[in-house]
Amino acid sequence: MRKGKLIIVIVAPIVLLCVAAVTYYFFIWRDDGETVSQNIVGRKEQEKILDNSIELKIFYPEGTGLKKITIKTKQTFDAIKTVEAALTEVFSGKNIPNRSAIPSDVKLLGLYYGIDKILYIDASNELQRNFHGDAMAELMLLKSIYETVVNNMEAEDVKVLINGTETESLGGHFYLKYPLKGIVTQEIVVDGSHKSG
Amino acid sequence: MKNFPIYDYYINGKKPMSRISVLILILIMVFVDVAVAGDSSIKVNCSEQSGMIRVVLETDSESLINQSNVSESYSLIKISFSEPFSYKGGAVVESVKIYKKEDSLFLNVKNLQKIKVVRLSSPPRLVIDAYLPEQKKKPPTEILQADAKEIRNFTLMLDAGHGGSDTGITGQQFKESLLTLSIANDLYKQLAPKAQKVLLLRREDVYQSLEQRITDAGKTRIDAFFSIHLTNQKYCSIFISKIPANTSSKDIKYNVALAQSAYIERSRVLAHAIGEAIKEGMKLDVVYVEAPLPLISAIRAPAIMIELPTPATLSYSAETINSLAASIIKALVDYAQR
Repeated sequence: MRKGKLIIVIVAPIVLLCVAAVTYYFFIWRDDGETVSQNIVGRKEQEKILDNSIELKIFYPEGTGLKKITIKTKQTFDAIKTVEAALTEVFSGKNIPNRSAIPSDVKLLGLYYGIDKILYIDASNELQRNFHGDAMAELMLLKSIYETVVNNMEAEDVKVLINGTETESLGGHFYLKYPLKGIVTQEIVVDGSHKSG
Repeated sequence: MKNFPIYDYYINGKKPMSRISVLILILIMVFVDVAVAGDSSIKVNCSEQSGMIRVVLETDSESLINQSNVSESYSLIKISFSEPFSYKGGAVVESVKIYKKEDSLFLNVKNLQKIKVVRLSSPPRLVIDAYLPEQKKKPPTEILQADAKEIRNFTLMLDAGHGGSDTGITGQQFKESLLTLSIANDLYKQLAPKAQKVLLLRREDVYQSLEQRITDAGKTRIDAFFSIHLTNQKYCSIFISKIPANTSSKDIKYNVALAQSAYIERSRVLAHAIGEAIKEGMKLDVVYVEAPLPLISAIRAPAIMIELPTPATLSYSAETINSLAASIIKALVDYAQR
């Protein structure tokens, strides 16, 4: 019996100590951590709101790839307006170093977000008429439109209309009548990445 | 009361209506007459001399001739007029093809080297002397004469990129749609004697949709498909199709858009053979690209798209075309031997 009592006297405080430690970890220490990180995020958001601006992610063609620039613009909580501002930046080409990659005088006529989560871009016919590039230039232009959209809003795909109508192709190399994702997200292999024989 | 008779005329109608009809008829006749008279007619006469073809454009309007603008690019001569005209045809030699588009006349002269333009009056004439290469200076054809037995049974298809309203790349003196058509026509002439059959997907400067091209290309069994385009780069780009990674054998069999999947390896071999031949024969740098091009992706045969540099970089002389044709023949022979 003495031996049993001795065990209880030694083990019971240890068990109690463990229970106290676990309780502290789950209910006090971990909660504190979360509260701290939430506060940090909250502060950042607060700063952004106070700053009254958002960053537009603009993608433009550069050789056989895309380059990204970020442009600060007035705060908006409407995703469509954010994309509208981003695409207007792309088409205006004002802040794009490689200006010649974008057809001139293109106007954004409208943006429609479908229930299929596809963003429909209605552009003026200058997008087609003033495009005089080769196949790679056409692919990169389509890719820059797609990447600019999906990096500024949650859209599953992008479809481009010219003057409100479905057009077969922008420059005679790639389809424009289908949503862009299937074309622009495929890996493009350039130069000696593959060998014959 | 003064207005009453007029009102009466409108009510009764018959007499004034017949007068009005006559008046309208006269106006229409005058308008038609003016319209017909407004369009001057142009008649073309060609004569072939040693090393030169003389093309004479004859009209009754002096201003039409004086305000015309003549420009040349590769084998194409463009004559732009400041006013509408009607083309009346005339005596045209075999090596010259003439077609009218809007306010311009286009002359396609085989092996054109340079032109000389003279404007004459009484009657107003525009004389264009199109100089051809001398027989002695003919580009070497040894490569073309090379053993091309391997491709005797080949059916080839050539696609001249763009067309009509889809002009492609445009420059000061060229349109991609016209230049690719001209190149495809010349390649046709060079390749036709070597192969069993050479088919042209586009024969005129008309718009052809990608879907129309795919449908037309699918009508005939072919052994190789070449789509001719231009690039703004200083090198030649050779494209093959890029098939999506998760394509199943069922897709390959039933999805027309992925028909190329079964031929992709052979297309790759052909692309490299052509690329090497172009590097060697035309002294051009070559870049190979795999991209999801819908036209070549839907071809049920080895298919490539060749993008040649624009005339700003590459001079499109008869020699250039010969070299390109020789490169294609050499590559096809290499490909057939593998």
